[in-house]
Amino acid sequence: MSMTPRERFYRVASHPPQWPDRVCIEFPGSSLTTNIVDQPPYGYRALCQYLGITDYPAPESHSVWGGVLNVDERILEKFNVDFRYLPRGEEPPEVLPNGYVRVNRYYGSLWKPAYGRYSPVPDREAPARYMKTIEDIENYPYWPDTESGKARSGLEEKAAELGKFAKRLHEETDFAISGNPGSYDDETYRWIRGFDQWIIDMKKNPEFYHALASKILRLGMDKNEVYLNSIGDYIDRAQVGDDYGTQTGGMISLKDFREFCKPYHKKSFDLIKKYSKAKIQLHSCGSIHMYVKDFAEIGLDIIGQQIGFAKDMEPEKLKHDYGDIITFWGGMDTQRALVHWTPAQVKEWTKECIKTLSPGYIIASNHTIERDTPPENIWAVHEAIQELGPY
Amino acid sequence: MTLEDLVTAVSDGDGEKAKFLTEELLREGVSPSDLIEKGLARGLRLLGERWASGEVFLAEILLAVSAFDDAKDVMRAHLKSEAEGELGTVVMGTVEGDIHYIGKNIVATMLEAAGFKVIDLGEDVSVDKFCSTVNSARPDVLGMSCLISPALHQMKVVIDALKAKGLRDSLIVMVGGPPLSPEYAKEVGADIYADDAFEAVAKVREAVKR
Repeated sequence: MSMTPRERFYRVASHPPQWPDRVCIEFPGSSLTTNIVDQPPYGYRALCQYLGITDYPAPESHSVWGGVLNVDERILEKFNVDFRYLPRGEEPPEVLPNGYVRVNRYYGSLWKPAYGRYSPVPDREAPARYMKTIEDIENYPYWPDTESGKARSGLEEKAAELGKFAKRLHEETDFAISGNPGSYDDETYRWIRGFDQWIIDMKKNPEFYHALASKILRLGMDKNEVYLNSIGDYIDRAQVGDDYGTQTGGMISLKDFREFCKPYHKKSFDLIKKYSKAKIQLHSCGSIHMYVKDFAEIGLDIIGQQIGFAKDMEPEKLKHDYGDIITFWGGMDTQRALVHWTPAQVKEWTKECIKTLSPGYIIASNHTIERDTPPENIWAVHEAIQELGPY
Repeated sequence: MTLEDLVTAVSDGDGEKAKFLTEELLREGVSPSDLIEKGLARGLRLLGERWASGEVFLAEILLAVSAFDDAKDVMRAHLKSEAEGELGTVVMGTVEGDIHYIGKNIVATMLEAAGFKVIDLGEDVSVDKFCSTVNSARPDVLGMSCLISPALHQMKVVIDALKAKGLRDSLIVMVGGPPLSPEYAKEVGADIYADDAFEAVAKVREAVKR
């Protein structure tokens, strides 16, 4: 029996997952960490050309991360992508004389040009690095002006517009609607304070850590609530993101995660659940095997993305250890497999991921598809899905 | 107050204590080389064992490396130049187009702790900068780091440029970073690939002995 994309999504994202008619597809996607860049020699334009699409609208790339946000509908159709996306309509960053940008939605964090996009500046240049006391936190100049209500009223208009768009997508299509309502994330802490200082604060000055993390949580929830109020009824998936993994394991111990990170994510997830029945999906880079159970406990439904290409993230291991409590998302590796392998190898890996991780699996790239990925390898993923056919 | 306390301070990532103990032990007449080898470097080696057994994570490594660096700053004034880098010289940098540095800095400090002189060229290092430094400093090892795949090809560009300038033969080239694999390292013509900082140090030690 053939299912609608939305029905398919809800089956794979339930716990334990139920078998849909075929694998749930988000490849190539069109949102923050599952997208494709618009940069030669390959990238978005090479993919369009490969697929014979020449009259696509000018690609609009994310102002910081670089991925194309307006992926042509014909590409999503050719790949049978089950999701459609809500834009966030974020303010462009402020370009500084030295070529850096300051991103106000990430509380004044500084970014530096790197290969057609931006990367956070080195720790020593992080804008909130100077803070020593809780008073310094309150006086930090880049917090939004929440007291006058100015910050919130601008948001409300944007969120209302987005809500109308979300309602239309929800009512007029049967795709799984994916929204990015925002959430707590430790990345913001690291961007304004520096990665090393995130760890030093946690280990040496927990009182300061909790004061700053609570501030970031409060401001984030205030903003997210506005969005959720408008889009909550219409989204099927709420995408959130953070990074806790390195290639070889977690960044911090489970004990530290439980004390310094998990409580903030829980509050943030609770807010999403208050306004929406959407399934919550978290992106994290690296090996996050050790945190999966804790994330599932606080209401996370789907986790990704570096399946198969970081320690303990092998499909068999993930399925065996957590297959009943969480759905997996990712697997199409953008560092090695899609870049360096042959289309035949890519196909073999695609089939292995689907066979091993289904039914609780959404096939997607492991992160942004970079400019070094040949379109043949992107298409090979689709061909493998077609060759496997329905479940 | 003993070298053993210094080992603990470093492996616990307590920079303030490591600095204090270094000052006190120097005042008591402990030699800088003993301070490094039997104190600071041993602290990092101990952490390596805990890392291998999964007891510690990136957070603890980062703090220990930072404690090592703090203590090293205190004793820099006391170090005779010949005491540094007795095992050889390593030039390190993150390749052009990439500005990530955490992994590279950890490897640099670990190599320093193991007895190498490290010349850290920083991030976004051009091919010319790598080549001119290799030419002027004549290191035993060149280490290149990269975290993002679009910049990865720079490693081969650097190695080819070194070959063209006749600088490659006597040099050991090490590469590392998440998008790499041993196969890729071989393909670009590197001599050493390591998964983590501890493995990198072990392999460099082994390579310079040959």
